[in-house]
Amino acid sequence: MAGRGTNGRHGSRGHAGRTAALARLLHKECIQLLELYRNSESLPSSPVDGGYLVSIPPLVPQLSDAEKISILHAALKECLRLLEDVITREDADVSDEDSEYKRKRKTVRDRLGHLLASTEQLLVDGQKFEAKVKEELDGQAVSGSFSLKMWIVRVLQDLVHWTGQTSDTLRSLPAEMEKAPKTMSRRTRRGAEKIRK
Amino acid sequence: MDTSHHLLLLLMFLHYAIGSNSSCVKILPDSSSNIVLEVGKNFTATCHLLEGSVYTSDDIEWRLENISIAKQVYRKINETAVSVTVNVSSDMSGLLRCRAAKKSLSYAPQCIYGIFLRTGYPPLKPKNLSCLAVQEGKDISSYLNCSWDPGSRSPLLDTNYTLTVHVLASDLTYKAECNQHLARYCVVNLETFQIHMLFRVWVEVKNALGSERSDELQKYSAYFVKPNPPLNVRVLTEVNISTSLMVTWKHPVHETILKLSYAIRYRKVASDVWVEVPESFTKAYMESFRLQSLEPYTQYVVQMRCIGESHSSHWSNWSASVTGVNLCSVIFNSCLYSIAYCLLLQAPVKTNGKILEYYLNISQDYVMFESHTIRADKPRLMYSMELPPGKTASIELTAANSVGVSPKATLFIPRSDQELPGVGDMSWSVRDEKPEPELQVEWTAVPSRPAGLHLFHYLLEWVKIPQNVHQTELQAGWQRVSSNVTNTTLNGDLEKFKRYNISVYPIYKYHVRHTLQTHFQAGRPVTRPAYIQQGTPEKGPTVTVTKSKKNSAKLTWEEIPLDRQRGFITDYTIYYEIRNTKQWKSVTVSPNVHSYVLTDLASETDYVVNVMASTVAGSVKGMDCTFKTMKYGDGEVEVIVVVVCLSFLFLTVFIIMFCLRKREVIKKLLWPQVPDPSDSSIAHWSPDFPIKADVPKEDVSVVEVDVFDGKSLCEEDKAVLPLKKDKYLSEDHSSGIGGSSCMSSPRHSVSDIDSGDSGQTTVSTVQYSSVVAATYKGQTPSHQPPVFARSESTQPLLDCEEHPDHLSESGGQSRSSYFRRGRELELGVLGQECDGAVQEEETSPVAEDPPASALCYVQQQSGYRPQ
Repeated sequence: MAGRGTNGRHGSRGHAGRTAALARLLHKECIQLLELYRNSESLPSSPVDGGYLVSIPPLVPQLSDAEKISILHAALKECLRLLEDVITREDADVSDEDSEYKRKRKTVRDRLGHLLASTEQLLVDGQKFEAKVKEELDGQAVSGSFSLKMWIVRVLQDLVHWTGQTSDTLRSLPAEMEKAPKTMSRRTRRGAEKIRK
Repeated sequence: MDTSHHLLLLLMFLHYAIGSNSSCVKILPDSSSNIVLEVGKNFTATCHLLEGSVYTSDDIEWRLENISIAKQVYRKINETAVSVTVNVSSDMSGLLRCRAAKKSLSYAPQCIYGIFLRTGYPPLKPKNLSCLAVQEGKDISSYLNCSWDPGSRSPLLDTNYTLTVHVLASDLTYKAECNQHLARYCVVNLETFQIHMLFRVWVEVKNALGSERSDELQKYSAYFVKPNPPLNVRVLTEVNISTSLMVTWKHPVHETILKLSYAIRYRKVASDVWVEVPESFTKAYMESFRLQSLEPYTQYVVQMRCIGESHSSHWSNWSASVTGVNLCSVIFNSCLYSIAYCLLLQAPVKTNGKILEYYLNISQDYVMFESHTIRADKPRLMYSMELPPGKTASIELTAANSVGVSPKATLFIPRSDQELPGVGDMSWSVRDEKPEPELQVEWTAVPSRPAGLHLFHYLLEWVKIPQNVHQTELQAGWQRVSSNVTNTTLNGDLEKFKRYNISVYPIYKYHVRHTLQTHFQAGRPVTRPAYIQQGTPEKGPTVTVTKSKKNSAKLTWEEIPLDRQRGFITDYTIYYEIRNTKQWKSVTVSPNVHSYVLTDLASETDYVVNVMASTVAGSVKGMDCTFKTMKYGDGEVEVIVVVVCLSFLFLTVFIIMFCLRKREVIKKLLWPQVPDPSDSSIAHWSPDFPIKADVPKEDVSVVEVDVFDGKSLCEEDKAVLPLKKDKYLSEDHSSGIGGSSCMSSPRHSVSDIDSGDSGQTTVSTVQYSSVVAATYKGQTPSHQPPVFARSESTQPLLDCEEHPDHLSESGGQSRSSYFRRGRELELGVLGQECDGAVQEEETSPVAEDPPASALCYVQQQSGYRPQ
């Protein structure tokens, strides 16, 4: 194809720009997923109160961009864990019929894995942050159908929130954050294998 | 326990012994499966005789699929081993056997061993790997379709192509396998298309002879995406902006998935050449673009496609064509020509704006004759004008838009007796140019022209014929050609299979001295019919048989309408056959013939006929017509009729002549001669006895009654007569007379009827009056004896014929006679007698008096009385 660019660069932003675009795409899809779930379960569109399930250190301005990305990466990892938990519990209760919600749920799960893999390329070696989910909010103690649905809504709300945060943070990255994608660490590769399963 | 152990050992020994005998040779290399050989390389196999074999290496023979291998390629290694080396070819697949056997007769069992060979090529390295993931809905399909060039050489072996997609960041690997010998593509499912991720893609091909791996394709995933064309492409007219069109569209995919840039191309509706907007103008992520510098009031076709930003993806397909018309408001500077007396107005080629009106002024002999204002939405109109002989006409035409009026276009029509010369000759031809054929017109220059005339240019006109009467617009066009050119290509959009009249007009320019004006005048046109492309006629001619004779028939067919001919008719072919024989005969006639007489036909035979019209492109048959030839030819019937009539006439004359000649005989036959009593001779005699004074009472009375003479009936009884008229006039009464044809007068005679036998008197009625003279027992009448007349008629009395016995019985006393009596006497007698008869009739009972016998009869005292 004559004239096609072959450098694979995404405008002037490079990998960070692509990751930001991916985060933005995922954020949009998470909003759609939440909307689909509310519609399928006939839930009100008002947000469920109680704050976010995933808690991270505050993103204070003093943190560097790399640190912020590292923190958000940790939050997204928790979100993925929660989403997989949601999928497991929903699939255990509901029949295996295909629906737009389920297709979108799978897309979001896969895309979240892609975003985690993509943001990991931006992490600075040695920086480790953890994100936590309080035990009472982990969903394990949730009993009852309505409570489970409310908990799922909160998980999806967290997804919308943290993907939005990541998108905004990545878009605000200066050009110097750009670097070529690196080979994955052994730890990440294991995680990827888990995701594939 | 020991016994069974020994038995088992014995069986094992036997098995070993038998096995060693059955395979006393062995081939190296050996394999339980196929041994795969590469075509073109040498292959060496060695046959070893096992220890203890009775054979030597000289007894070894190699065979490939039952064909012995030539001894020349054997190589004896030692006394127990022989090798063979062959160059592997593609057809060497099969069983390679080594056989050891004595050439002379021997009881030693032969030893055979074989290996299976399979030949092929190692795979070639796949080249030009490319992958594509199409847009699916608002997302990208998870199926990545990769294709490559596997090379033209078939490996001949089972070959496995493995397509691998490795997502670098996530370290995920997706694979797909395709097992054709020469696979050219494979599809791998990525589950969810990994947008904004870096892919490594390669294909590995492997078979028994080796493996190859294509070059790796390491690209971001967008590189493999082929988006859909832009959505909702629309072309909007901008009213206040001249020469531009606004194009709007929608992004086919969200920018978070693929940020796109666009390409726009456009062309005029009538043109095939696309103009592409420079990409630098449309590379931005936008949803509208203004096309500028377009020709005003022209229809344009617009198409769009898109590609990932910075050409990061595949191009989409072009969108569907969208048409738009731009408007403008700039003055135009061109006008038109018109021809002869029928003015054809055509819109200017370049209008420079929207024409609002045309102004047409017609002058005759330089005096304003009439003027018209023509609306621009009907730019093609026809005006007819009568130009008296000896007058000239001048026509001026201007066009106006919202800004101003164009320069005048003038046409001068000279006096009718001043026709200017036309071109010498004109011909046309069709050139098969791509994509459409073109009509080439060629003509010869004007041979000579009057002094003072300047050939300004030629005008070529084409008019579609026949013109549709329902169409207000004249389907015509024209173009101007320079005066120094004698051939050109018509630039009109001529329809295929339609006839056009192509005319060439020389346009002369001259100055009129007294007005100092310049006039244009068209010379005599030369016109030829033409087709840009000919086809077969739409339908064949409908033939009718107008005159059918004994051995010929006249056929007539209508000319196919011009709009259905679709080409020049080259000839007509008449096909005819005797019905259901399928033995067609044909006659070909020229295209200007529309009737034909078929000859040599069989008489009184059903024929089927049809006519086929042909053009250079093909032929079409018309409907079958059936007719029957006549049984007789012209004049045959007339001859027969005349002969029959003449024969009849001759026969009639002959009969008449015969009758005339033999009339006496016929007369005697048909009308027996009845002597005329008036001519009869009567013998007068007087009785020898004296007439006695006392006249004996007559017992006979003779009455002749004419029933049609009213006076003969009783005048005084007319009042009574109507009541009995039917009885008197009934023809039944005359039946008793005998019905002889000689008795033409319908007279009824009554005679000698006894009143007592009134019921049976009809049959006994005598036709002729009978005169019976009798004397009673010799008495002499006292007065003068009556004179008796005796008829000499030989006509016999019918009654006597019918009753001969009665005749003989009464023959001595009564005799029949015929005589006429005077009317006076009859009336007197009848009057007296009818009185008595009527009276008696009235007294007679009705029931006993049948109508058939109701006659006026006379009661007699004596006379003839039938039995």
